[in-house]
Amino acid sequence: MVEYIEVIVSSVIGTILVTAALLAFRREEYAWIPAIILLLPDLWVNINYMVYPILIDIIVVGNILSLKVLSNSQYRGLDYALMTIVGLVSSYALYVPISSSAVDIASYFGFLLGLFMIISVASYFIIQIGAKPENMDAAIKAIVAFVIATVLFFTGSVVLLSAYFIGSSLPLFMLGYTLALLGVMLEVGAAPMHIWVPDVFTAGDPIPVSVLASTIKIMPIIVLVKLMYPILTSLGGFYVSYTFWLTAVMSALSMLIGNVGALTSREPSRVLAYSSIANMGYILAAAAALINAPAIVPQSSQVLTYALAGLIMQLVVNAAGKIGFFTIIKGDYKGSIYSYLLGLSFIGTPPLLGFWSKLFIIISLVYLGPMGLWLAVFLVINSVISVPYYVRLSRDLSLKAPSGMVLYTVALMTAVMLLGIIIPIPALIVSSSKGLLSYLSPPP
Amino acid sequence: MYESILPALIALMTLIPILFASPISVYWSIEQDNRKARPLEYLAVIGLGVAALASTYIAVAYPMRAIIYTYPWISVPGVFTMHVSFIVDFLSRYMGLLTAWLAFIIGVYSLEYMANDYRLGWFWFFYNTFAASMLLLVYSNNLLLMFIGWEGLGLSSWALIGNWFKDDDEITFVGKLGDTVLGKPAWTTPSYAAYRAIVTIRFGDMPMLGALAAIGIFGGSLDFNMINWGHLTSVLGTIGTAIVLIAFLLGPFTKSAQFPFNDWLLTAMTGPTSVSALLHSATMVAAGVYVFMRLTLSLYGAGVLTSSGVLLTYLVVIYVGLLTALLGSLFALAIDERKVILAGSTMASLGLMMGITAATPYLSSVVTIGEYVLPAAVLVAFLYLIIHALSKATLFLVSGHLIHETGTRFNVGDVELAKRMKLAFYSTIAAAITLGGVPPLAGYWIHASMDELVSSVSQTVGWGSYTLLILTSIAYVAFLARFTSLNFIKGGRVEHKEPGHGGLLMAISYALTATVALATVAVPFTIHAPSILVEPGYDAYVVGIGVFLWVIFITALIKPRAPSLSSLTTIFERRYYLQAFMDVILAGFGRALIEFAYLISHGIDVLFNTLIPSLFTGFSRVIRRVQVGLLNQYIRYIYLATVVMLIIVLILVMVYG
Repeated sequence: MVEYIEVIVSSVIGTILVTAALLAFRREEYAWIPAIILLLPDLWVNINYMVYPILIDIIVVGNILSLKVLSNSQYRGLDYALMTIVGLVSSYALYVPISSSAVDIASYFGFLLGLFMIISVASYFIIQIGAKPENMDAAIKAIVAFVIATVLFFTGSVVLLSAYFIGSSLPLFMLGYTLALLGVMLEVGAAPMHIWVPDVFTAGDPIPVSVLASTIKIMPIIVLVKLMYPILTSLGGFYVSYTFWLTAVMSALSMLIGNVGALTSREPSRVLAYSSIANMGYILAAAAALINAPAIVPQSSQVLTYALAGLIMQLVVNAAGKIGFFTIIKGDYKGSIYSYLLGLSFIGTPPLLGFWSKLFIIISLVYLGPMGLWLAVFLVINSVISVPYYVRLSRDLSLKAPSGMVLYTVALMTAVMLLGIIIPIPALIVSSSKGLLSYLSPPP
Repeated sequence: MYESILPALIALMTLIPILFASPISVYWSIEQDNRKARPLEYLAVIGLGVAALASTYIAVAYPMRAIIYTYPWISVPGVFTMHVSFIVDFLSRYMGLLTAWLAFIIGVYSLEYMANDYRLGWFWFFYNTFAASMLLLVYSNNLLLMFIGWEGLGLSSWALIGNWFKDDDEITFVGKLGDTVLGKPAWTTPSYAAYRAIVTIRFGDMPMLGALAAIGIFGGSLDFNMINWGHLTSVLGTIGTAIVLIAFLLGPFTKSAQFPFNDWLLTAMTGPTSVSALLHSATMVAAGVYVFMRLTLSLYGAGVLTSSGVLLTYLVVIYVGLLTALLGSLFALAIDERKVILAGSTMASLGLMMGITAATPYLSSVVTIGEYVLPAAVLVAFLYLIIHALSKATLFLVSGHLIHETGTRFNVGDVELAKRMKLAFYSTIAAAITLGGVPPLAGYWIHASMDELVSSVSQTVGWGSYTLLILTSIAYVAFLARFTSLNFIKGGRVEHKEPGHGGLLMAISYALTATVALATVAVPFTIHAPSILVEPGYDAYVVGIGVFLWVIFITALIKPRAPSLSSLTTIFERRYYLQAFMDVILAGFGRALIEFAYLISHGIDVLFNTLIPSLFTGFSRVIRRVQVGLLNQYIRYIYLATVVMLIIVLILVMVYG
């Protein structure tokens, strides 16, 4: 029996070797082929849970295709490999096993911090991929933000974990969680730690930005959830109210600032930057419900199931939409009907995937009781606020029909949104997230 | 047997008139040729004749006991069942007879009166619907079924009052053209009168419908003989019962033109005279009183007439009715348009009927006719309704003929005219003395009974009621004499343009109704209730009043224009300023409401179109202002945000730690 970690590691090493070989023979323009092929071993999971790596793979394939649109990549060949590694690691992140013995728990947390580090470092490179001189300012801002984010997250996690392991010290716990959350928020660009996002998204090359806005956002959230879920399950009381309220308020703030900020932005990249901030708000809402639910409503598995499903789907919707839109921007605003489909999905129009993701988050918040209800209402109001700018964005980006690699990328991302039309797929995601929950908490 | 054929008879009376009137309305919508339409007009009248025969059959052949036909209509199993239910009792058998025959006779009259009209299809369809609706209402034993007839009356009256919708003929107006009050016209055109009628009636119908619902819920049934009034009164209490009954009676109040809902009736004179004749005798306005009588019988049958809520309601109705009677007859004394005088007289009579019926709970005497048991007050009011209907139809039909002959709607006519229109003069005198309450005709005996009833209840309900009745009686006979005098004796010479054209059919019609009205003198004596209907007339005091009424009648005939009243004439001509009140004050209030609603709506527009968007825009700009593009500023910002968060943590730790 082969362990999943071995498959992932082998695939990573394979990717590195093949890419190195192609570079040695100056055939780096073909590196995307092994990159895609070597991504697929991450599907080697229980068939019931396969939905999650499949979605990750589609997003990463979208990234790889969009990178092909970029003709002047600094690290041609390496960029594809980097995406594959990020994809493999992101797939794995959710499956990091947790057991009940103390040593294993310590190494589990250590491993999660390592994963966070990998993504953070990968993003330093990614932002520089298309770097022309005028993009360098954006790259520097992003890298600085990521460095600070990593430091905040590490510091916070260490404080948090010591508070947890040494014996429950509430002030230490609160300090640790606050710093760790701020770190994650800075990494993914949630308000009020969003300061770098609008500038980087506007000044950077659309393709690397699309990677930053999509795949890179997945892992920090997963790590946060995997880190906090077991801790909060065993704690409770004021710990939970603090983590819930902090996360929920940050989530609400992020939605509001993102959506309102986007309203008056004209430049598509800037609109997408604020849209990204708003999306992080939705995702934080799902995360708040997910990590705190076991303590708030111990009997209800529905909150957990819907929160996890909503979290994963919203990450995928955000990623697919960002890749699609940024690729359209790169392709001279030629989005035709695709930009409308992407926009409608972002708005949350049934039955596109964006509708289901928001619906599941709302359901989980409603099941959470009065504590979550206000946030659900707030989320709905925010979705309404977002309508005008998404419509405007879709119209601005729908000038002509796309062609070539832009078309393939955009069509693939639109297809992801259209998955929602096939009703069994949202249902499948819900049922598989029920099983995935076992990867979040130690066995009793 | 009687039960089973009843629905067929009702169908003859309600569906046949409408069906027979349909061909002319279809024809008229295609081609308008009065000559070719003639046979179709006859067909419409034949439909009414069929109804008249059916009603005669019921009145003659049916045994003198309550016959009820019931068939399930709307059913929610286990919750309730609503019935199609018809009833033949004392009220409906004679009311139906009266309605159907008057509708037929006035229909015959209309064949001549409306011969050259420009809207025959419309007129006949709604005329027959009008009669059919009334017949449905008369025979129905279920409140909801009755309500259908009730609404049919409202719709048809709107259509008929506004028959001359072009508003192009001054002869159809009411009020002096050019006269204004508070800047609004004091005259009324047909279309506006129709609107006023329907609006007033709808105002009463809505609470009535609500009351129907309340009766259905608390009384358990909508069938008059099945309503559990005892449960309703005990659940709702005094005030609750009174509210439900008053809400219900707002329907009859508006339809039967009780003050202050009377003004539509006066302006309804803009309709064709045959419409006025039917509307004022046996349909529309009688419907309100009739429904009130039926309600009274229902309450009487359930034995709750003397419960406090009912007593309270009926006390209100006595005074509303008698006040309406006095105001109506005073108005009729002063006005100068012949049809409007009659309208005021109708208002007065309706007030009397309402007031007398409302005396029922305060009286214990009942009359047994066959197997029917009727409270005395209901019987008296009903008999008054019948003689009023016959006389009033006569007077209206005469007025219509006079309008054709004299070419004006204002009072005019001298002895010469009376000689030329002998039948008209005869009919007017006959109707006037029958209705006026002078001995020895029918009106006298009925008035004597009323006098007796009201004087006996006035000890309980107050002497005001008796005073109102006597004043009304005096004014009533005076204006009838005045009407007669101003149109046939002392109304001045008729500036005649073209001498009489035909008019035979019209004359036959009103001569017939007038003769029947005279013949009703037999009615009080054929009903075996001498203590109620005959003996009061032999009372010396009442005889004295009767003689006095004759004096008034003769005086008014000789001197129809009383100078002492002339200063008040303006108030009467303006109909107590009710129209001005509605047009200026009520409409002004409505206007203010609209302005207010506009302000709110405009405010909402501004809120959503301007304020909220600009708020968001401003907020959005503030959010985007932090993006200055300088890395050092950003790091400072991140630092600041972290510090703020840490301070919050610190505060929380200090508070809860």
